[in-house]
Amino acid sequence: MKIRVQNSLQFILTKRLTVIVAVFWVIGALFAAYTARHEMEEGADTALIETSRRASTLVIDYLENHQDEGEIVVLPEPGFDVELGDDSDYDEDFDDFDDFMQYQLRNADGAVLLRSRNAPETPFDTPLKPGFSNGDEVRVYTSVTGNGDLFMQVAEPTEHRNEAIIETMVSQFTPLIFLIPVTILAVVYSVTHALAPVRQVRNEIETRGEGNLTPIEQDDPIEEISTIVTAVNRLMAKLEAALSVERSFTANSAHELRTPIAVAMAQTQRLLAELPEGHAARKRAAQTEEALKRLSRLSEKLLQLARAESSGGFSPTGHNQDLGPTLNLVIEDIRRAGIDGAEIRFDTENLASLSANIDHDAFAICMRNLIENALKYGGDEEPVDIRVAEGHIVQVVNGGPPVSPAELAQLTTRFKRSSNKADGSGLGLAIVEAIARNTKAELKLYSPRPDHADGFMAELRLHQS
Amino acid sequence: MRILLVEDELMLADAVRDHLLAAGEAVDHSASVVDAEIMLRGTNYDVLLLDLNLPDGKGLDLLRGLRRKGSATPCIILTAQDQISDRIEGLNAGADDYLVKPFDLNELSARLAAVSRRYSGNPNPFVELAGGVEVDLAGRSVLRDGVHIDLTSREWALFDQMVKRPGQTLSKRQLEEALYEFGAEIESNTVEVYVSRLRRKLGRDVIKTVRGVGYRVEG
Repeated sequence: MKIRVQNSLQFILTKRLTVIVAVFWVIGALFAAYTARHEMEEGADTALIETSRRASTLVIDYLENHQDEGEIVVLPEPGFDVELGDDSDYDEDFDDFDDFMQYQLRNADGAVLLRSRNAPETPFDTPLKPGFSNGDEVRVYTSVTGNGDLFMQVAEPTEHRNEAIIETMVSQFTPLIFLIPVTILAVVYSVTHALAPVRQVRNEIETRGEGNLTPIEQDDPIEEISTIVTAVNRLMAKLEAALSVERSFTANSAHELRTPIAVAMAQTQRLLAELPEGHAARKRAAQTEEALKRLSRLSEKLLQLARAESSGGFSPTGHNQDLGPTLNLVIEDIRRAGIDGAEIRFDTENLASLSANIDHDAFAICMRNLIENALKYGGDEEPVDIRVAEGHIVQVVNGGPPVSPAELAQLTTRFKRSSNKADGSGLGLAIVEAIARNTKAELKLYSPRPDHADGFMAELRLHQS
Repeated sequence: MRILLVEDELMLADAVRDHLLAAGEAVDHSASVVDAEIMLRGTNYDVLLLDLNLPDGKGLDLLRGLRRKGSATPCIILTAQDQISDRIEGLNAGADDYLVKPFDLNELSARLAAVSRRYSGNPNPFVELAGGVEVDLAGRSVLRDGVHIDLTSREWALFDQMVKRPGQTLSKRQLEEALYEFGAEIESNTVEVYVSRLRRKLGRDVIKTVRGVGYRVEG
């Protein structure tokens, strides 16, 4: 049986574990990002407050010393007045780093009295109210300084702050892009490894034939699997016992039924032999003998049908077995029994290759019925041909008038006889059909036989495993 | 032929024995494995007819025991077990043929004749003898110069023994064993009486007397 990959335990486990791990990671990362952003905002705000506190006194002092009427005083940045040599290890990053803090010292009217070099000449677009406020492009901390008539505003560009946050996020999420595939691989490996005992049991069941009811073996039992396997083994043992009871019942019935018929037939034959020629009772004795022979044939067929329908019919090993010698024995038996009908022509060319997953007894019953049928219904003029093809197909071909398609379709029905002769039990092909059904074999009937205008061919395509 | 029939179904055994006696064979019957073993120790049988399910054991075990002891007595199994696997088991145990119950008594005779011919080393049932005598062992018929000759059962039993072994001298004792049923009375000149009757019917050249040893037919 072909199972879709989507339905395999391995696929389901891998998919679910991967999705769960990935989702939790992403949620964790988002939460971490949120916290980090919050902390960074807090840190940056603290930096604005501290800068404001430290710088305000210096800035006021600088303003008093450098104030010109109507001019905005520009505060130099530390280090800008220093002459730098060519070989100096002047750090541009330091410049960049320091560049983002902007100051403005404004009076109560809002006019800018002093600003840092990087700050705009126009006032920040925030109200002169102590505390934090957000402009279009800056976050500003305003504090009251001097004698309460000056406002120190320290600003940080929003872009700078966002950039820092984005960089943090990127550095946090980038490893996940690599880690998730690695996690998938790790999950696949772990699941595959953990499911090895399940696969072993599956293979063990898959490779065994249907007739094999011996216990499933496990190398390394895992609790969950071994519970299932133990239950299956117990079930198979029960099934085996039930089948064996049924088989022995049919075998015993055969024995119990055959012996009294044998007694009756032998005694009748003796009676017939001992009655003097021309005696009135001879006719009755002969009719009794004939009736007993029919009873014997019918009981044989009924028992075969019971067997065919009750037991599996697969090879006891569950694997293919060599059927050549069995076919030989069946043919030899039929020849020796001297059943009326045409000669049997047995092509033994491919006999050695004949092997299939079927019990010897079930196969022998099939062949016996097919050959007896061919002898019974085939013409006397043409021999019955028996041949083996492709190692698992047996063909039994006979001559005689063709069977109509409607009749052909009915031949495997019980008690349905071909119309031209009526002394058969009408069970032969039904028995073969029942065994074929139980052993995954196929019985095909052709009439007229291939390459001829008449005759009949029964083809038994045995199941190989 | 001297035949041991091992069969516990008495009515069947009765019919089989009567049939074989009527055909001129000597038949002993046993209904159990133990009795059969005792009888096999005391007498050389030409064929063993063996049922498989006996009240005190399995017929196949009896057969295996015989074969282990080196006995080559031909054996035909008579059984109600009709499966091919039963048959294979029977043949593997050393049986020569296998007849499933219910069987036709004439079929049994034919199988007996075939097995016995195989053992005499001449599986061909048609034998030509000196003096224009032709014998069909399977069909139990004798022709002299193309004319059918009628033989009684006892005449046939004696003649059959010699024809199966053409050129071989058979002792008077061997011929007696073939002639009589187990335990039957025999008289000292019985073999001579039947030989002289056969010579009258078939001509003097067919059966040669080997003085002091016995008789033989020439092929």
